[in-house]
Amino acid sequence: MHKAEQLLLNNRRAVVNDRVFWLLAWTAGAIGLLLPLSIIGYLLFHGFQVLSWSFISEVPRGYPLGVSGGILPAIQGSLAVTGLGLAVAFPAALASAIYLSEYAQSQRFVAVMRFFTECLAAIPAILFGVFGYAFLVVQFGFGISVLSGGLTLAMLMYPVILVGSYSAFNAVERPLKESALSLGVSRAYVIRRTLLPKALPGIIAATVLAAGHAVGSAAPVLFTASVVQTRSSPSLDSPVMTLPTHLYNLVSEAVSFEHAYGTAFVLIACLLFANSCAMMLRHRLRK
Amino acid sequence: MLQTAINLNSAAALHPAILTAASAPSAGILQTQQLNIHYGLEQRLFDINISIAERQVTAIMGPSGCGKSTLLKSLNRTLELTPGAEVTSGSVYFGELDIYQSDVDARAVRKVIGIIHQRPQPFPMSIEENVLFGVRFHQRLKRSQRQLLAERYLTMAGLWDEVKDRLHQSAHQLSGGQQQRLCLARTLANQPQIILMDEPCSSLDPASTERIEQLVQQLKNDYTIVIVTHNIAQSRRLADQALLMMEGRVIENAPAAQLFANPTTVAGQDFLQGRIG
Ligand SMILES: Nc1ncnc2c1ncn2[C@@H]1O[C@H](COP(=O)(O)OP(=O)(O)O)[C@@H](O)[C@H]1O
Ligand SMILES: [Mg+2]
Repeated sequence: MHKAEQLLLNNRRAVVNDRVFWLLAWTAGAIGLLLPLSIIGYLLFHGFQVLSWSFISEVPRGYPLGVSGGILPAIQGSLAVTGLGLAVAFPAALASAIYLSEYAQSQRFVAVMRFFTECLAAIPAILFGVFGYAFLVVQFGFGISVLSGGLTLAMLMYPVILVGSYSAFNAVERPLKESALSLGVSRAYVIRRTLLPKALPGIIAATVLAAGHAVGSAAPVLFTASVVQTRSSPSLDSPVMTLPTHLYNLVSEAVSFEHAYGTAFVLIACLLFANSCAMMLRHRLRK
Repeated sequence: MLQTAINLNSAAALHPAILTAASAPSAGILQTQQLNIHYGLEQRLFDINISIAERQVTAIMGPSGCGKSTLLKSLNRTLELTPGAEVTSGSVYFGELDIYQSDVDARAVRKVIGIIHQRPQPFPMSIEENVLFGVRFHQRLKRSQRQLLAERYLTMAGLWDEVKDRLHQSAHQLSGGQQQRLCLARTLANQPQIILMDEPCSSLDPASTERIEQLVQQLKNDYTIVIVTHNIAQSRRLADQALLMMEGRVIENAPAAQLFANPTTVAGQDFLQGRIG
């Protein structure tokens, strides 16, 4: 056989390489898919006895608290602290991102800011909790309240939203900005009408990521906002129950594992819901 | 923004020469004087002295990297949008007004002297909104005026018939040639006096190129046009005046017919015969 003909035959090594790579890729993909699915399945399996409409619409009951009844106050409390946190962090982070990507003159300043922001994003959640307790709860006298917890969560979310939005603005092609500015319009007008729509999917993604992280963390609200039981609906200056701290109590005090699994499932369902909404929104924006 | 527009206009009122420039075709409406430009520490344009005649087509030719885009952008103060780029000395006169003077607003200059870039950049909005992008910043528009204005400028850019049924659809679905005419329409909608074009056809197919060339021929009755082109045949077809640049300097500058017939420099002869470029 000639050399040229040999080249046409299956190269065993290439075939084996292909197979191995195919297997690795599939394994990696399967892990990514199976891990969340099995967690959700597991929670559903163990918690499904308690899951019902009354579980999410009633207050916890029984002694110790939580062996029966629902988790409504924890859902409300989590929404309140996360909502307040977002209301503070989102505008602040968006403004910072716009400033850094569109207005800041010095590249060195931008680099320094990015460095500190990324450090902030890497700080463990418990440190935010301690910091929030020392400054907001004690120093500023906000007490253990939605206000303190919301502001603590805002600190947690701010760097994540900032970094994501900054990258989204930076990813808009320079020639597009230049073409827009060439029409003699102001920078603010260009940002509002061309950059913001282009960057919005990225901004939404970062915001949902940050909010999901915040709503599920017990550490930041443990010392700043949460109590084991509340009777009233959330208000700025009163403490609240939250989903992650309620879950923590149920498990650590061995109150009821079924209720703990049910609570965890509700928490995950909220995250899935928020993520799906964000995905649909992004999909619509892209059109 | 009103103030800035007034600034330019009142400066024009202070300098009647801007208006006389219009009546005396021999004096240029746009002139550079000893213009030097650096990118960072590197000097890229050297002592540029050119004069652009009103309501004519001026072609700027030269091999790539010789500074055509740099020169063009310096003529309407869009060069400063590039980080590091700086006019280090010299001036650009619009009529008698130095547009680099400190009390001139760059945005007003960009409105009066529009620019079309090499690659069309449709904005992420509808076709109609694209056309009105600049106008809606510069003046308040009633809802009823919008479609009227959009129609006027899309017609001028020769695009109306192709898009009149889908004005509210995204501009991204247009072909490259259509996108370039859309960019022309939105520049025209700013009511400029001068239109700068930076290789407007270089990313287009021959049919779209011909369309743009026809438009340039029509528009020169009302506008002053400066067109950068890589294509010698194109500037032969379009230009009244032609410039040839090499390595940051203007080496030939003459009425087009004269320049193509007798280039005065060796490099000019080489370029026109296709030996450089
Ligand atoms: N943003 C920039 N930073 C630094 N140098 C640049 C930049 N843009 C262009 N230059 C340099 O300036 C010279 C002229 O570029 P340009 O005006 O784009 O040329 P042309 O349009 O004739 O191809 C080139 O040598 C190029 O490398
Ligand atoms: Mg160029």
